[in-house]
Amino acid sequence: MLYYYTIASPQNFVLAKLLFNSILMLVMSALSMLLFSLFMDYPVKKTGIFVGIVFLGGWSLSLVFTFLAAIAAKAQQNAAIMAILGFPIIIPQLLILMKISSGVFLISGSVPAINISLLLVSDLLVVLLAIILFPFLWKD
Amino acid sequence: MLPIKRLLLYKPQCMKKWWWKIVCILLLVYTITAGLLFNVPRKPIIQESIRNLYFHVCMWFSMMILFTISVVHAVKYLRNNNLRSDILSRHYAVVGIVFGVLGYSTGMIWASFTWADPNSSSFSSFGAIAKDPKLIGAAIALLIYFAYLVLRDSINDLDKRARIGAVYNIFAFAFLFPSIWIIPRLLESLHPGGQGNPALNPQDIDARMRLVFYPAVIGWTLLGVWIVSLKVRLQMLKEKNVLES
Repeated sequence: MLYYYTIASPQNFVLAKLLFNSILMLVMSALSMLLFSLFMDYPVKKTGIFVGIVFLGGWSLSLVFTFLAAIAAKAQQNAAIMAILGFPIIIPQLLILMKISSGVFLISGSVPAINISLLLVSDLLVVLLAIILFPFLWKD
Repeated sequence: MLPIKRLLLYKPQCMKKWWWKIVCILLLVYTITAGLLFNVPRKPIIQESIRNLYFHVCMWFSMMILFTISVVHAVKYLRNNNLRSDILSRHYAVVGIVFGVLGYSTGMIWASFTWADPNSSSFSSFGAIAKDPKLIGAAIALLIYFAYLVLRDSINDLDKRARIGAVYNIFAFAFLFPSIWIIPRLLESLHPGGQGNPALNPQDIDARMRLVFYPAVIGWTLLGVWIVSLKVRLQMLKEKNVLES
């Protein structure tokens, strides 16, 4: 940790972590979507939107849990702490995702744009908070 | 040793003034008597139980104000590294949670008279009530702050605990707004104010109710602040005992 102090600023460090976890999550979401569509029925009627929703959901979850991992890392790495901290914050995102994805399983279903923009705004909020607050977590 | 002594002999400036406690008592007495005696507009179904507005909604407003004060102290801690701000922010969060739980219970009592269908068993109407987005949003807010308390207890070192607690407090406060205010407003809800029109905007609430409502908010908030001040003084005494033994 002391080595990272010398080569990067905390903002760069946390942005790098967020970016890496986002890409990891996108890859894993893509893989799992592929496997699900191979092994099970494919009830999705609008594939493009569904892929977008999967990526958006994966990205939102990975951002929140990256920041929480930064907090939990300082709290003696208790395994349950991440679940306890993360669970209430994840709930509104999951609710919105559920509402959005109910539209892709019917030809006539609609995907309200306001919910998508709400998710994007909350992701932006998490990223901004992580950048502002990480320097305080970082110094030991 | 000198800073610690000053910390232990802490009696904030506001303690030396007692006038706000008298104001608190007077406002609460006014709220309860005027709330129950003054005339209120009779809406369909709600009828007289609209008086619960002075208790239920005030609890949530007080909770928001107390959480705001808590986050202000958290930010102060991060800037000054003064443990006093950390203790204050924790206790404001705890009393905020208590007010939130009270808000939930007053809401439950109110719902049992207005939203529950008296012709079917309470079990069947519970399902419809529990899906209300504002209830879920409020539960999320309380859960986030419970998680804050759990996080604080899981760290042993005092300074680290204060710092990480302050960081999570700011994060939690930022999440209050989407979950309680924004999401319930967008989704259809049993609460007034769903589908985009706010219920508590000044043109909407009746003038007679406004007369009792605004003093009530101030009264309940002052009560919360009074409770916090007592808790903090108790905490300081406990720490003094620990340090001296």
